Amino acid sequence: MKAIQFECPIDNFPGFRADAVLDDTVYEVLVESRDARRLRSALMEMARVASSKKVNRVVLVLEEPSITISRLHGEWEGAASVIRPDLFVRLSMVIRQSGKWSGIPASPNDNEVPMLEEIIRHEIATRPASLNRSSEAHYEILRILIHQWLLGKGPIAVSSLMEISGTSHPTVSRSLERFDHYLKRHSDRSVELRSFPRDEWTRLLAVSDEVRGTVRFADRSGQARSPESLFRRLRQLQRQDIAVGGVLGAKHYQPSLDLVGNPRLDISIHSGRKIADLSFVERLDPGLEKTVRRDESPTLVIHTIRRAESLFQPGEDCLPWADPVECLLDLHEARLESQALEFLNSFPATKGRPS
Amino acid sequence: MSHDASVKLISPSAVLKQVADAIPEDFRQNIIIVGSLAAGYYFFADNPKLQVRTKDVDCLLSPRIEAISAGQAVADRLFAEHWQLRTEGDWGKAGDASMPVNKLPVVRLHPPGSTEWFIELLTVPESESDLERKDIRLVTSQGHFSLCSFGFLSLAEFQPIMTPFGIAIARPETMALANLLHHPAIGREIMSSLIAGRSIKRSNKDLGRVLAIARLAEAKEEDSLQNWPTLWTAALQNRFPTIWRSLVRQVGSGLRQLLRPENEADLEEARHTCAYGLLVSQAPTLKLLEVTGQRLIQDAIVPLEMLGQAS
Repeated sequence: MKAIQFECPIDNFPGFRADAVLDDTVYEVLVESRDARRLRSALMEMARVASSKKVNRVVLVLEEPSITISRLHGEWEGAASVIRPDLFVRLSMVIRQSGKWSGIPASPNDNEVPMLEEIIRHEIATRPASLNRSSEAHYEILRILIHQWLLGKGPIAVSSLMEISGTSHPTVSRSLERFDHYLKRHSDRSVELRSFPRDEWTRLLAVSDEVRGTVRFADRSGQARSPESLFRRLRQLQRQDIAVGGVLGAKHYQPSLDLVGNPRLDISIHSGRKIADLSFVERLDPGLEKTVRRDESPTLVIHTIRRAESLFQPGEDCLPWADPVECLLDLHEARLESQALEFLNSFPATKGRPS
Repeated sequence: MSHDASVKLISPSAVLKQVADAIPEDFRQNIIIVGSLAAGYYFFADNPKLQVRTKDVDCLLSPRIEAISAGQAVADRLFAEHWQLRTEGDWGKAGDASMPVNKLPVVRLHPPGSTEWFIELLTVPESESDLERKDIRLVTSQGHFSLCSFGFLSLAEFQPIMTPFGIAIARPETMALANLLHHPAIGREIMSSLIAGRSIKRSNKDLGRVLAIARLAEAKEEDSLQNWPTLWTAALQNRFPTIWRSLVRQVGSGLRQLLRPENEADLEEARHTCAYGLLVSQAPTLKLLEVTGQRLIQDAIVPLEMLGQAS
């Protein structure tokens, strides 16, 4: 089997690099595209590439587009009316939505799918995630400090904060200034929290979805797999960059926690500065699809950890646990407020303190 | 074609008991019930309120070497007990010695006083290469019949489940496997009878049966589909020792084709047969069937394909 070439220049198109090329087929990838204008310009670009004598087919690969399938069909028909027919017949679009493939004018066949998935994996792995805004960096540092404090680990050096968060000295310094009144600064350039930073925590809860890149998945089959089943299947994947949080994670840290039942599975994925590849969700359950509706109960909720070090705790059977701060955020996010408070108060640092 | 809107819901346990009681005790060990009655009994025996809609009770005579003697004994006992030949269709009366074996009717008998369902006698293929339909002559007190075998029926012989009535049922997993192997693609053959008023492709009905079994298996025990590849491999190695590896490659192709978006009309036919058959108590949506198929591919078919490559 011939190898896929990535970031490949095309003859007679100076400056243009195809996302992937296999034989005489060129692939262009759009990840999480929301913009119909971007789609239109990609189709025009594809038509231009298709005019090369060395190119036979040009395939636009759409990964998790936010544009509806009917809208995609509309854009496709629009393109057909303006692109030369001899070029247009050489174009196609393939779409992966919640791990499932479709296409215009035809879905990819079973032989093409593994190759398309490799192309998407490569694209996701090499393109940077949207840059951390300073507030996101701030909340990373806040969470690291709370983690340190909850587990009673004592002061942490500013250099360690930089290392774990993956941020620069000025960023860490700016962040520390924002909650200076909660901080105890030591002469060796280390810092620690004096108490639980309630105001900052409340602010974090308000923007938690955005800061953690939370994505919710709901069952579309009407016969959802249980969170326990998803957990067992996650364990089978043997991924070290994915950790279990939520109710299961909280119970791991505090087995006596008053939590009966488990309405959903919360997991954290450590992606650093890259966009998290969520294609593994289909392997947990092909019945899961992304949902943005807050009135819908998700079965699976994924949070992205963007700092340099995950703070995951090794678990049995090769499946790590998310750190306690993520678990606490998960409980709040699931509106398990009393359990979140009980969980928070179960750590040595908070014992005996008023809530 | 005939409408089969009159097909009634029947209790799997009650029918199995009636069939078992009618069969001579010495030959009950030679009977394996296959098809929707067997699946219905496996999944619904604990709940008498759950019934299945079927008109044919397929009785597999096994092993092949005893099929003729068992078939004669069973048919003659049923005739003596006033079971009646099914008259619907072209096979209303027995054949004779002058008729070629492939023109003989199969044994299809209604129980006394009822035409709601009938039993049909079948047997297993003679060898692993015997995948086409084969007829063997069955001479009974009422005339000549065909005892036919075809396809992957021999898989039903693998680890059948004994019922309290003394006859066995085929495992749902092996019935699903036989249906998957029988339809490596969506075929053109149309069922001779309408199903709830609709004309249905045979492959869609049989692949729909696979999806119904998978759905019921998951409902009975979550994640149970993950146990199927090991059992499937053992069954294939046992019944098809020299060609099992090549068979593995065709197990998933028909189902994958059925699930492709452009074949939604075929999946809808499969859904219709499920809603009218094994899943009558909880009619599935198209989405549920699609997801069930994807779960089956993921949990059972892909691992089977990997086992086929590895071992």
